[in-house]
Amino acid sequence: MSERRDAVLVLGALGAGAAVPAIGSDYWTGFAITALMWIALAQSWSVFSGLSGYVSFGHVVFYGLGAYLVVATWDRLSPALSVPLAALAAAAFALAIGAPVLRVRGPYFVILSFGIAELVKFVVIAAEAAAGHASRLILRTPDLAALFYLMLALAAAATALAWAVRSTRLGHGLRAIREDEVAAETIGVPVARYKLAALALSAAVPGAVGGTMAMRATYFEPLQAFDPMVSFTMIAMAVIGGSDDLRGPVLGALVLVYLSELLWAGAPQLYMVILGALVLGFALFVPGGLCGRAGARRARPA
Amino acid sequence: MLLEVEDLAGGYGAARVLHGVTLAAARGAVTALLGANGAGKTTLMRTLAGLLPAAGGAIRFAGAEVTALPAAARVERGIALVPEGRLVFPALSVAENLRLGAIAPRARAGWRTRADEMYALFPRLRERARQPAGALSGGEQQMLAIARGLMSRPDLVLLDEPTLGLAPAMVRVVFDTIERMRALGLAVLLAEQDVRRALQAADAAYVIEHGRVIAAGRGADLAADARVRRAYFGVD
Repeated sequence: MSERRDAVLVLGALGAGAAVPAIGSDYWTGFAITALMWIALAQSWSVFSGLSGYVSFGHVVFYGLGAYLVVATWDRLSPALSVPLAALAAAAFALAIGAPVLRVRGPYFVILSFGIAELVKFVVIAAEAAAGHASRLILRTPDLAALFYLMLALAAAATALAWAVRSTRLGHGLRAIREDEVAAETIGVPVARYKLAALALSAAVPGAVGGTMAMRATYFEPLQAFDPMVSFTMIAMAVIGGSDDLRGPVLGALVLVYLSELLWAGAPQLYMVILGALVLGFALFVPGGLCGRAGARRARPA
Repeated sequence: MLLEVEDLAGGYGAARVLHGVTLAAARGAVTALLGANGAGKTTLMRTLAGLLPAAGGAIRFAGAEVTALPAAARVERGIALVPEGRLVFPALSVAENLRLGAIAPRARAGWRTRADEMYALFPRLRERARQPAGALSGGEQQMLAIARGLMSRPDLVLLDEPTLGLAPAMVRVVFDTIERMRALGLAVLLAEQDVRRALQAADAAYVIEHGRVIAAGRGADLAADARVRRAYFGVD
């Protein structure tokens, strides 16, 4: 039942955040959009990778495809249609690649997921070059407050989804897969179906987030929309906060967004160094993250 | 017969291990699979459970063909594999392991009652309910693996080398449990290297060599069979 408490806590905090555009400056609204974006991404990543143990290094591909879809249809579709469509397209892409990709495990899956994202990036670059675009500009994008509320809704959706998955048979089955995939199969977890479902569910919100961020940037450039740093950052946030905990990705996102805000101005090169050191330190010494289940269990008397 | 296997072939991709295995297992009976390391017992168990695809032949369970069904669907029909090496979920607690054992739809109703039955069957598990399964001794992990398998409410239990590496006292507990399962009316297929004990416990037995059944019969008859005595007891 502590899952429900965590969900209420996170959703309540997000609800309280809804006041930001009303009371804060544009700077703070923009900052909040960035924080919410990372909360939505890290939370979505943890739905698949945190629960199943299949570490995706390519989640940016869903973000990039969402951005591309919204920008490419900008003159024809309203964002009210194209953003949900971006989520659907990302999930559909996950379903399409999932069946073959999810057959490999461990480090092979890590490399494959990274490779697919890079492949798609270069396909989009080539397609854009063939169509005569180096980058695209979009005009008449929604104002900052509208984008803020959209991103807030996406962060809340990702949290609600993570909660829903964790409290159903799907979440229990994914945890069993993470612990021991063969054993999971022997107890009757439909392993292939569950992995595919989790990947598709974890791809949808990032697709919509990508579309929303394209409107915020008002332009689309494949190298940026498919930047592998986006994948690395969401992993870092989930790992630091705790990827098998509803609060974890939120906490990790807030910590790193704050850290980057502190460091980008003064010492941007330091940010990457610190990020790398943090991920290494947490993966080695605090595998459950700041909110870790493992740490809590060890602390509890037997 | 609850389980009927006919001319089953299989293995790992191109590496064929089973070359036409035919056997049967009945409700309320223990059927032993005997054979040396590498004879194909574990491959057979995994193929029956659906972890490995069959390359030929047929598996019929409760009158229906299940040869092509995925593992989860076979659990749903009532087949539970307690795998070699136990494969408990090490980071999860004993209670969580049992809970996950009831993840199949057929097992969801009444899982709490069944968990209590498991604790009654294996009191050691109740004492350690909140501890991570990885912290249990080998014997306790084997009890947990059996209990987790039984949580799925099976009609057929595939026990793959349940006594491997266990202390003699634990081996007795495992065989007592097998006896209990038979009394409850379950079909038990037991792959076991302790041939003497297996033949004592078994109603019927099959001897497997190089992926083929080379001898079959009632447990007592096989114990007297010259080939079995030569191969496993070292006597003529």
